[in-house]
Amino acid sequence: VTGLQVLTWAVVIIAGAIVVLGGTTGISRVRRQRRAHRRERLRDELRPGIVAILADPDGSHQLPIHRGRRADLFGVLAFDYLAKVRGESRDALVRVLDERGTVVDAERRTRRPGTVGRSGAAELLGRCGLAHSRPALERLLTSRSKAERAVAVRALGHLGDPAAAPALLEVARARSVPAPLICQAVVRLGPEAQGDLITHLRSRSIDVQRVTVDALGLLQSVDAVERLITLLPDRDLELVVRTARALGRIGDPRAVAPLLELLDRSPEWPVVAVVARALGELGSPSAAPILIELLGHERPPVATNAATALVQLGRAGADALAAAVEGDEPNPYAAAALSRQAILDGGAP
Amino acid sequence: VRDVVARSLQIFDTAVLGYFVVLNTLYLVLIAIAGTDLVRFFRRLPFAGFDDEFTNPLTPPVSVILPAHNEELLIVESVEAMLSLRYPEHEVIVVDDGSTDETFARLEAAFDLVPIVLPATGDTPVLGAIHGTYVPRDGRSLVVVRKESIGSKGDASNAGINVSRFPLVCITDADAVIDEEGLLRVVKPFVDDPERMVATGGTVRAANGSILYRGRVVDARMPRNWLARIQVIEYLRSFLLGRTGWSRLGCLLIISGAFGVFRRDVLLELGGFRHGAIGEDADLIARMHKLLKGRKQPYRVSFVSEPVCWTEVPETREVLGRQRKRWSRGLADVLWTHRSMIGNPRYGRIGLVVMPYYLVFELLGPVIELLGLLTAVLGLVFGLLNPPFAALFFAVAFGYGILLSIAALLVEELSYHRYDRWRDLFTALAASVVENVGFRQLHAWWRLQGLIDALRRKELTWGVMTRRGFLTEGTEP
Repeated sequence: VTGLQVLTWAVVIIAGAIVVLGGTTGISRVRRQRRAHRRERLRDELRPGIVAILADPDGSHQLPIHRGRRADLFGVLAFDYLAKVRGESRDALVRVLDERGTVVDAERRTRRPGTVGRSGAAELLGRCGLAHSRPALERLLTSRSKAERAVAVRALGHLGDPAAAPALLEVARARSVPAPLICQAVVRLGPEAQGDLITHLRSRSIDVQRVTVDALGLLQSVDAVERLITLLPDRDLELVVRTARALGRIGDPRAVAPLLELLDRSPEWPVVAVVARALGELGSPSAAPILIELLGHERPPVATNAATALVQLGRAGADALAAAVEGDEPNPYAAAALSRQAILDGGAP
Repeated sequence: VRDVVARSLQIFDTAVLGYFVVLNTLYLVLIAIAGTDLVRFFRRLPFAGFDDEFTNPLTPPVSVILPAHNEELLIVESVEAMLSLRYPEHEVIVVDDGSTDETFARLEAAFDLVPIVLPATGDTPVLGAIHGTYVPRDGRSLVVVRKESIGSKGDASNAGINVSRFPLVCITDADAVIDEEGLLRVVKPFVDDPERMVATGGTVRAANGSILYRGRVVDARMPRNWLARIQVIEYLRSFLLGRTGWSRLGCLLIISGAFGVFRRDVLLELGGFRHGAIGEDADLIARMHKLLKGRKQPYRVSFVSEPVCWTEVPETREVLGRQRKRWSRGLADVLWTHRSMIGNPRYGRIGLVVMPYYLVFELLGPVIELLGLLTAVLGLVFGLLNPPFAALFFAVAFGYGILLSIAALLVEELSYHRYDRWRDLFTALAASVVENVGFRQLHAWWRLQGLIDALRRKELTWGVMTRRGFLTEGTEP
């Protein structure tokens, strides 16, 4: 075989491939447009039924039983609407889906092979928010697929069933789903989950403790304050930072003294920065002297947080900031905080 | 002697052809990987959880930094669009980098800016003097920094990093238009893998010819200018597919300066953008790899194909040539600065695969391409080369390039299909062909000039990017 022959064959193959790919591009566009057109037509046909349910949640709606593509599209449409509506309309739509067997079918699909199918089913179960779907979703928490586990965590959060808390915290222990996702799901379980969460503050797993602390902070759980304070002397820096942040979010004055003590013994700047911020959120004037001291901290985040915290303290903080900008070397962080505040108050910086 | 020269020429040209085939096959493999990745992405899109990411109070807040130099035409619309991005918490920091036009005046008037004293943190080095910082009176999350220009986007970005407050920093361009959910989507990898993810980038597309409404692309169209049309195909191939492929292989070396998100603490550890770096975006990622691989820290740099940043691409040969020369110089600069990484097993796939690839195929590519072309033409002129061989040689070289562009177009059609009009599809197909005849050779010439400039250490001139502005809804293209 000569080089010329090889090149000839190469040209023929390449030209053929160009024609095939170009043709496929055109054909795929035609198919896509036809599919979109057909789908839009079907949507127009199915939408009034769903809108009628949403508009009159208490009425009795006799929707035709759809099969094949219509049934699939009805499910997709209802799925889209579930994310957009709330209250009685949403409940009515879920009831219709439940009566038509969509929920049971989705629970069944969580056992079938295929990540995409199982995850899609979990997402639908989460949107429907029916408590009886919990076991099916909890089973997916141990799936080998990371995507499935994440969807199951989010879906369990949407169910809002506090009984899901232990299973979710177990996922945190296994570190098989990103912590922020678990935390969001746990928070969605609502204040009724607090009891379980407070118990888990004593968990041996640092990951469970971190998630629990964040969740209790976001739930603004006053009941957890005492237990959270006991975590401030912990050796894990990350846990201490999260606990201080949570105490700030909760805003209970019992946290002021322990946080001030923490500043005395913890030299690590991330801790100091978060404590300064938390003290501002707690709003206790007794924190003013230490915050003034922190204005001169070498780390900008600490000094910035201290200045912001002083603004939050009200009169006592404002006086301290005003004093800090006087003299030969005005504190730049205090000046920045004051001018921000002046702008927000509608005055000149 | 004649026979020996003819034979040598034929061997040389065959070697060049082999080089082309290997290069384009690599691209084809990347396209195949990207294609499978996109299929996976689309199948999982319905349960990706973007709404939950939006409502999650633990989604990390982002500081969006827009370095701006003489951007009076678009700056207000661009900042408005950035402020209204769908994201739980973000601030916009505009760094007016020594603009001599009305950039600052327009911002001041539109947002009722007032001066504010912000402490000089010195987190990253800034060479240009800071003239002042400003915030809007209504308390919106916007900070404007005015500084002296030293002709470096990196310096302006560093000034923005210094006033940023959030753990993630998004660097973009003042003339860039980001899709409404773009920020949410480009940050998703940080939510999914908060411990390891250090940088992500999104796709950059050419906005010329597209219709904008309130700072968003509402109707993507092919440009009317052929140079811009060709760049649409180029960007499609390199951003949407090339980088998706590299990212899937864990081998991403470039995150575009037009749209990238970085962890602030890592940026600070690196000292921000390096002064004097010409390709500051690639240089930053190379240093990131060097630092994190060097200390064996598990980390990820990811490319997300779906969030799109639209930008105006050059429509004249002069401006495009200048841009491409600069890119080539930037690459040479990065490879030279980080030469210790090339072929170094300490840096894993980045050292053993990516850096050598960029050296052999991207940096030296134009040298080999133009030499091959030149010898083939000379061989034909002096009768040293068999005309049928030369014809087939060109047909294979150009044909493979066309095939590659059309494959990219097909993947785009099967995935995002942003260009909905039939006319645009035909134009894109035509541009895929035209690109390979004339433009590709011109492009190689510009890249070669950039390489020569880098070798001669010639002083870099930035020139002016003439902006035509985008088409807004209601205007006729």
